[in-house]
Order: sequence, then structure tokens, then C-alpha cells
Amino acid sequence: MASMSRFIVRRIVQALITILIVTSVIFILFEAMPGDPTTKFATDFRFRPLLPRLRAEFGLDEPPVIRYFIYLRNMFTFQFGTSFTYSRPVADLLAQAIPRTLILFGGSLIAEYVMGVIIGSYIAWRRGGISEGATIVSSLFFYNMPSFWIGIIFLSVFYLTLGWFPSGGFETILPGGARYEGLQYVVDVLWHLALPFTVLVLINAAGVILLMRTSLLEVMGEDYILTAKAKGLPERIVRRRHANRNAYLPIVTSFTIALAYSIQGAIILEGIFSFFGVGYYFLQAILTQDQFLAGATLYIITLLVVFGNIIADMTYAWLDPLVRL
Amino acid sequence: MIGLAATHSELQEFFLRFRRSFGRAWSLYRRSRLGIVGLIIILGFTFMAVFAPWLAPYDPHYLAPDEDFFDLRIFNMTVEPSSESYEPVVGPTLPTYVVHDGAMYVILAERSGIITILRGREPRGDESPFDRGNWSRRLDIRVDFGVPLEPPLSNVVWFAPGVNALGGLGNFVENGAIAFVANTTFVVYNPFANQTLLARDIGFLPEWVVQDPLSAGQMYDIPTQTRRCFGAVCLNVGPYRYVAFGAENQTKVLRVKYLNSDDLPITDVLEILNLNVTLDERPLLYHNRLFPDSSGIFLPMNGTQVDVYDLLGNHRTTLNLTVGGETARLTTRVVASRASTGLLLFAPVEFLGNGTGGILYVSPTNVTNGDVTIQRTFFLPSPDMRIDVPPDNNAEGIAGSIIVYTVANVYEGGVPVRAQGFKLTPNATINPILAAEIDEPVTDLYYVFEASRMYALGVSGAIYGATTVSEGGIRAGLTIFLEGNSSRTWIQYIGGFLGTTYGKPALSAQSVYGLALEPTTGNLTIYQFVGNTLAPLPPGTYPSGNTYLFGTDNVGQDVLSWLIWGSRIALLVGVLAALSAVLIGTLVGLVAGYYGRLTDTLLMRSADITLVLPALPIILILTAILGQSVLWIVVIIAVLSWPGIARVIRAQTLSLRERPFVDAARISGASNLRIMFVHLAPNVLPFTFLYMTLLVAGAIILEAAISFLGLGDAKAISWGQMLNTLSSSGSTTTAWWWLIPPGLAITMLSMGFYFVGRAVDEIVNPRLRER
Repeated sequence: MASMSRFIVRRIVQALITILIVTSVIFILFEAMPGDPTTKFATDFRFRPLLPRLRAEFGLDEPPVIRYFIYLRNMFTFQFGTSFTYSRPVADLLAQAIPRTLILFGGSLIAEYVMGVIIGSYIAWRRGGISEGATIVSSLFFYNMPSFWIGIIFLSVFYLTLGWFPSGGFETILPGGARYEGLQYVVDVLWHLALPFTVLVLINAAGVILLMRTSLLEVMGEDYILTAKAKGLPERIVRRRHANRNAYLPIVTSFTIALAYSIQGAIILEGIFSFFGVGYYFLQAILTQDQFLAGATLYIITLLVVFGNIIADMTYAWLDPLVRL
Repeated sequence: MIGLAATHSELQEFFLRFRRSFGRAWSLYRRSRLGIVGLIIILGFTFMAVFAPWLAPYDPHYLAPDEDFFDLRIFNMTVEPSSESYEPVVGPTLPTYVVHDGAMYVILAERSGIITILRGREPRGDESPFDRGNWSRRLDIRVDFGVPLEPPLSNVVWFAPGVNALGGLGNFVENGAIAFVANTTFVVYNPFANQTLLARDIGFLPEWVVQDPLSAGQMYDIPTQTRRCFGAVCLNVGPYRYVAFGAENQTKVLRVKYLNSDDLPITDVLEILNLNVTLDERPLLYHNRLFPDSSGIFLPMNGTQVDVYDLLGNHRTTLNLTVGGETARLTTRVVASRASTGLLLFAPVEFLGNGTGGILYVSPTNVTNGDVTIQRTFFLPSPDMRIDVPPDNNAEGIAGSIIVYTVANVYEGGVPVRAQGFKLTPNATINPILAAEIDEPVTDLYYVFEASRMYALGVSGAIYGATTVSEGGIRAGLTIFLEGNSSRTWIQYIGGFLGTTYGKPALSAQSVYGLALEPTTGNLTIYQFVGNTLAPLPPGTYPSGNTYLFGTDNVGQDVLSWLIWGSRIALLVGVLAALSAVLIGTLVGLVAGYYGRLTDTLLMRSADITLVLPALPIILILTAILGQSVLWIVVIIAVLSWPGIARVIRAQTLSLRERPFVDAARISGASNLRIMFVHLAPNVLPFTFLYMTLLVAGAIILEAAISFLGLGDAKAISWGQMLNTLSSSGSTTTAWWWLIPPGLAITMLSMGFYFVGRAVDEIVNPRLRER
């Protein structure tokens, strides 16, 4: 597996360079934005005397090159400053937010693919019939649907009208600031996750269903399937051991890519459901022009995407040795 | 080969090859059901976009007219009919700034001596204000006032409560008093304590009674009970109420000191003026504690002059209504500006020389010094117009900027046949916003500040309402607010039922009412000026005759029209962004794949970096920096999407590069550029096309998402913007007709392009074709 470890090392080095470049691009972007971190303070006259100190603290008076290196140092050591909007250290906010987003999107990703594979293979084997047509049409429909639209429909039906599920958040805060404990806590969190989770699965499983079906159809046309059947193997074995296994490759590729890019859907969906994850904070940061929070969340998002890409590449390389070259 | 190269231009050759491969592709495409459906969908939306101006039933900015939009509350009740009624009087029970739940009294009086008091309170739900007020009294002057009184009753005025020295109202939470003349006796009566405070003989039978507007509660200021002195400067106002009585050859002005804290009988009555003159028009008693210098009594004498007296009855000056040598005559009474910042009086006149009408802006700068002058003159635009109804006025905009609303009757052959409404700027010129032409003469008028509307009563009894501000939408200029009823002869502004005519508690447009009385039938109508909004309106046909197939949004814009027009932005952004991305990507891919080595590495590295950048967050940040316009969104989407196609094209180019036909072309002397664009490009075009269709679908949803988050062009008519407005207006549960169509449209258009993409995919990747 020497080639594998060499491959991994190469990819990690590439990833680090990518992170560096992307972080620099972000830095340039924020420099281009009108105003600086003290703008929000400058509008409130009470903060006027504090401005010079703030500027020194943020290092705003240094030349851009120095600022760039300070910024890089901060990013790599996860010193993100304090959020203007929430009056708390950004690192704290994100430390709480990242696991939430990962639970929601990670969990839904797994559910989507499991469901998608099962349903997709089911309709591919049962060629013809109403169920195939219906599933395909509805999958096409949900695949092309904007997530925020179905999100607000769900919200208005299941929360505003029926009141079955909460409007958002991650957990219930009881009077006094306490939270549920143990099993109750788990149930509480699941209850909060239910709506965004359903929306995500609905939209994304559709794509997987279509992909699995296409992939399976392609495999089914291959010669070795014909051979297996001619050999007299039972349908079950043909399906499971020969056809499905080979159809999984595009699915895995898609999964690894989705791993990296599903975070983007987080921004919209978390906003609708007031789900306090990374995407939600990013959106709030943009809307309130909270530079520290925006920069930090963008950085984290980029990290997640790059990390996801690495895993995707590594998984693909493990599956298909040709790629390692 | 060489011969061919010499006879065809490069472009011609390119198109030739393109057409050939396209023809082949089309015959394959036709076989795909999905592809055909997708094409139909796309063509459908394109048709919608192109013919939007003709297809859409309304202009997207058209607002549903008032009768569809508002639900007006109208309360009717029956009082005693009488042919001898006076105009109703409204009596607020609180001074302007007191924050309390007061009441509004509606006082009806008949010449025969019956006074009816109705108490109205802020209505809740469907109940009428008088149900909630739960109190009414019928008083007969002969028996109910504790002193011997006889008819005829000469109308009633109301003394609005002031505040006492402690800033309070005295013993009662609400307060006020009724004043009237019974035969020749002037009576002041407190209905709360059921006590007659004053009964004094004035010596004659008055035809009319006029009160100073501050005392009636018709100004933004409050009568106070204390005389305020600041060092040596004393404001010579106090709890005084000025009442004027007039008849043939008799004009009298009384000053009454009205205290509401103890309800003791009134002992301080000063006769200010007693003149043996007949006034042409009713006088103006102007009394404003903030402008003591301007306070005074203005008596119109023989129409062309106004005698000015101070509040103690001393004659100070005579104002001649002459402008530039032209003498003018009053056509109706002089009106004072209602605002506490105003110092203007308005005298509607007719110039005797040429018969033109107008309004004189009179400024009583210092009554004591006789400083009363004509500041400005407004001339009516045509000589057949005359102002018969006293103008209404208010202070709008910056302090001191007085706007005047007036209606002039248009005469033909000496008879009024039509009317024209005007909104006058502080400079006495016509503000074109108000365009109100009324088909009949007008007999009464008032302006409602809270509703930004002017209301006029026509002779047929119809009440007309006109919007007085431009609202950026297309609203009807004048509508018949209430249907005509010829026995309706007066309209009155009540304000709110909270106990003050103006001021606090802050009156919203929904809480102000008007009053109309039909004395011969006894029908009393209380009506809301601005009802509760019904929007967003469900689909259906509405009173105005409009049909909204998909209903309206929260400001009254037709959803179907927005849907049709929104297809333009969707297609525009989608196709432009995808086209740009694909052009850039194809170019990059061709160049990178063909030239290889350093160029390749550089281009592909930058593609990799761009690919890793999370698209949506970057787009959002860039939108925040660059501004929310449609153009930037197209550019940003294009810039972030090109790497995808570049990779694929590069891979294709790499494999095609080694093919024999490329070598052949090179040998025959083709330049690199020619090879790339004439030979390689047509072969990669199918991939380009495929990627483009998928990209369009993605761009449409991306644009919708950006608009939905509020970072799109707020003025653009797009489906995402519709959903954004919907979610921020909070109507998501109720307005399904507004929620479903845009999302459905986005989904369908995206599906259309996706289907086409799938069909093209089957052509490009032959393995995917049906077994």
C-alpha cells in the first residue's frame, strides 16, 4: 500500500496549499468589503473613546502585509475574535454549532444514501409497472425542487398549523436555562431535528434513487450478469453479489462528493428552521455584517469542504487503484 | 484537404461540422421522451417570458384597489328623525396627550330642543362603538337642565377638557361640557356630573353659534387651566373658551372660564364683543396658547373686509381682502390651520374684478399691533371655479409646512355642476398628486391625516375618497367611498373613539372614523376610513370586478402576473450565467488540454481552487460587497461554475488531441487556434451543451435561493423574491396561493432543463441509452 500512503501525503499537502490559498482569497474579499471591524462600533457614540484601543487590538493600523500574517496566524490557531452580534467569542459559538450541523447533515446524508440505494435498486429490478413510473416522476420532482420552498411549506404545515414539531433550535431550553438529561435529551434533540431532517432526505434521496437506478441499469446490461444468469445462479445471488456491488461505485463517488458540498445547503435550510448550526451563523453574520463571525464561519466551511474532498479522494483511490497514479 | 481549406473560411467550416453533428444528435434526441417533455417545458416558459406583457393580466406593480383590499367597518344606527337637526357635534373626553381610554361623544341637537348624547368607545370585534360605549341620553331642554329653558335650541358646541394645574383632569377620568343656547339663554352643562354650570341670558335669538377650535378639541394643542408665566412673560391664555353668537344685526362674543376640576358653577363670564352687525360669514375665534400673539377674533364684515379684535375685545385692525389692487370677497368662512405649529389662516375668496377664485393665506403675526397681512395667494386655475366649502388643512412634513386641501365647485351657467379637489403646497401652488375630479358639486370636505385621504360629500350624498400621497403603486385617484343617499347632508371627522380627536394615544389609520347623519330618516352611520387589510387576497373575483386567478400578495399585487413576469429573470439569469460559465469553461478546457504542461497546470490549479470554494457562501459575501443586482449575480454564478465544465472539456481534449484527424490538420498547415476551434470544438460541444443544461437548472435555483435569503435584487420581479416577501410577511400558513406557484414554477423550469440534460446525456454517453 505504499502508493496509497504516498497518495494520501500528496493529497494532504495539496489540501493545505488549497486551504492557504482559499483563506487568502477570503482575506482579500474581506479587505474589499466597505468598512472594517470597528465600523459597527463607530456608529454608536458611546464607543467613540474606545475606538483607538479597538483598532490596536484588531491590528487595523498595521500595514496590510502584517495584517495578512496576523490573520493567517489567527485562522490556523482558531482565534476567531468575538462576534459583534452575539457578544460571545466566535470560537465558542462555532464549537457548539459544528457538532449540530454535522449531526443534522451527516445523519441525513447517511439516511439519504441508504434509502436511495434501497429504493433505487428496488425499482431498477422491478422494471415497468406503476411504482417505477411514480417513483421516478416524484424523484425527478423532488430532485429539482428548491429546498427552501419545501422547507417553508413543511414549517408552515407541521409547525404553524399542526404544531407537531418545534419551529427551530436544537434543543428545548427550560425555564431557568436547564436542558433535558439523558434519554429525554436525545428525544428532545431528535424532535427538533425531525423537520429539517425530513426535508433534506426528501430532496436528496431523490437524486440517489435516480443515480442508483441508472447505475444499476447500466450494470444489468453487462455481459457478466448474463453469464451469471446463464450459469443458473438464483436471482437473489445475481442481484446481490454481482449486480449491486458493481453499481455502488458511482454511489460512493456521489456520496463522497456530497459529503464535501452538502454544507452549502445548510445555510439556507438552517436559516429557515432557525437551526443554530454553522450555516445559520454564517447567514446571520452576512445579514448583520459581523465580520469576525462571517470570516470564521467561512473558514470553517472551507475546512469542512476541503476535508470532505480529501476523504472523497481517498475513498475513491482506495476503491479504484488507477486513480492513485 | 488543401483545396478545401482554400475555398471555405474557418467559420463556414465550423458551422458545417456543427450542423452535421447537430443533425445526428437531434434524431437521437427525438427518441427520448424525457427530452421532448423537457423541451416543451422550456419552450412554454420561454413563451411566457417573451410574451409576458400580453399574457399577464395585470402590471406586476398594479395594486388591488381599495374595495378589494380593505374590509371597512360600517355601523348604522337609528336615532330620532327630524327635519330640524343641526350638524352633529363630536365631543372628545380627554385632552390631546392624555394616555387613557376615553370616549367620544356624538351630540345631536334639534331646533325643537332635544339633545341626544351617544357615548362611543373603541369598538372591539364587530360590536359598534356605541354598544361598547353603553350609554346614551336624551335630554329635553324644557325639563332636564334644572333651569327653565325654552326652544328654539341653537346648535350645540362642546367644551373639550383641559388639564388642571397638576396636569390632571380633576375629579373625573373623562371630562367636558356641552354648551348651547335655548331661546336667548346660553347654557353650559356637564353631562358627567349631570350639572348645569351656567345659564345666562344673551339677549337675542342666535342663528348660529361658533366656538374657538382649541376649546372644541379640534387642534393638536390642549387647553390648560393655568395661566403660565415665565418670569415677566405671561401667556395670557388659560382655561378660557370663546363662543360667538350671531343673528341679524347682532353679533356677540363671550368668554367663559371653564374649569373641570370642581364642577362648580361658572362665574367668570366676560362679554367681549357686542356689535350690532350682521356678519356675512361665520367668524373665526383663534385661540392658541402657543401663539398668543396670533390669537384673536376675526369677523368678516361685508365680505371684503375682516375686522380683527384681540381676545379682550379691542379692535386692532381691519384687514382688506385686496391683492394687487384687486378686491376679493369671502365665499365661505375663514379657517385656521389645525396644527400647533401653524400660524396661517385661510380665506377662500372670489376676486370681484374678474371672477376668479382662490385662497388668501393670511398671517396674523401680531394681533395686538394690528399686524395681520396677506402672505400668499392661491389662484384657482379657471374662472368658473369657486370654493364654497371651507378648506381643510393639516401640518405635514417638516414643522411649519402647511398643506391645504380644498375642493372647488365648477360652475356652468351660474350653477355648480362638478367639483375639483386640490392639494396645495406650502407655496400655494397645486400639488399634482391629488387628482380628484368629482362629477357633482361638493358640500362638505375634510382630510384625514392618519389615512392620507381626503373625503368630500357630494350633493347626492355620496362620499368620495381620494388618496393624497403617491404610493409608488397605481391606486385609483378617486373612489366613491360610501354610496350616495340624498338625505345625507353632513359628514364629520370623529377621529378615534379613544377620547381625543387627534394625538395620543397614537391614532392608527384603522382607528379613525367618520360620521354621517341623515336627519330625515334618523340614520346615523359611523364608518372606518381605512379598514383592516384583507390582503393577501385569495383567488377569486372581487368587488372592483377584478379577478385574481392566483390571488394577490400582501400589498395587493396579482400573483399570476408576478409569476409570468418572473419567468424573465429566471430564464435570463439561468441561461446567461450558464452560457457564460460554459463559454469560459470550454475555452479554458480546450486551451489547457491542447497546450498542456505549464498552461495546463496553471489553469487546472486555479480551477481546483475555485471548485473548493464553497459557492453559496462566497456568492452571498460577494453580493454583500458588490451590490444586489441581477447582473452581478449572473457574473458571480458564472465565475464560480466554470471549473466543472473545464475539467470535462480538458479530459475530452486530451483524448481527442491524439486522434489522427488532428494530426492531419496539423500537417495540412492548420494553426493551433484553427485546430482548437474548427476541429476539436465541435466534438466537445455535446459535452458543453450537456453541462450547460444542468448548469441552467442549478443557476435558476441558485438565483431563487439568493433572492429568497434577501440578498437578491429587491426590485426585481423574480420567483425567489416572491417567496422572500412571503416569508417575511408571515403569511406562509394562510396564503397558499402565494406560496405554491413560485416554488412550483422554479421546480418545473429546473425539471425542464434537467430533462433536456438527461436526453443530451444519452446522446453523448451512448452507454446510457435504453437497453
